[in-house]
Amino acid sequence: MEDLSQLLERLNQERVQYVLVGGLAAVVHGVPLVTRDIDICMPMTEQNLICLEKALAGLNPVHRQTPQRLPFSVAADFQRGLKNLYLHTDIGVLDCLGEIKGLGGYEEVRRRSVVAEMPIGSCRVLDLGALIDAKRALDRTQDKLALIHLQEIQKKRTPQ
Amino acid sequence: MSDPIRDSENILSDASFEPVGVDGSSSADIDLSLLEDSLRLTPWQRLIENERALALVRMLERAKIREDGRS
Repeated sequence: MEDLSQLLERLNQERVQYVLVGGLAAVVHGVPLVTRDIDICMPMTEQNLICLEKALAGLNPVHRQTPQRLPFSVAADFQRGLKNLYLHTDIGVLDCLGEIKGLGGYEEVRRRSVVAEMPIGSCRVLDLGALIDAKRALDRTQDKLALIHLQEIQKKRTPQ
Repeated sequence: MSDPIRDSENILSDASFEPVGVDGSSSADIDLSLLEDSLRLTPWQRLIENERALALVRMLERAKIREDGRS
């Protein structure tokens, strides 16, 4: 059973460095499309992965795209130098990306983010313009509807 | 406890804007009333609405599986 807000809260509690991107970032900006997972951009440093491991402790995180569904392990994953982690946990799917197509690496993504204040703590979220750029760069059918909504939100926010 | 990422940052904490109605909008392909409703909410409320909708989807999926299993 998904509990995406708890997943985010755990990231905050363990001080994982991340920027929320993807569908849930679009939801935070106001897109009324349901999303089932969390996508974050994060620096794939050993320290940050250790924080992530603590945040996911007890949630049985596994690499969902490996046939054996290998357990998430900082020691093994850091050594393998993975750029992205596609994880499944007991409370939701979490995709951790080292870079975002159309934007760049974590520092650039962070530069183009805003902070959303929530009861679970402050969440850094990709800003509206960057989210539009990222969705455009992906050019996937599933993103087109979100893109239309995001552009509409941008239009409404832009002073006439 | 102070939060270092909040210092002098662009903060997204309130509803995005006061909805102005759907008249004159050019995006005929989407239901703008849903968008207007969503924009009245705070980011946190939007997150919670997503989880509620997701729970409903899951419930319907489980119901469908039970129905399929019966037929």
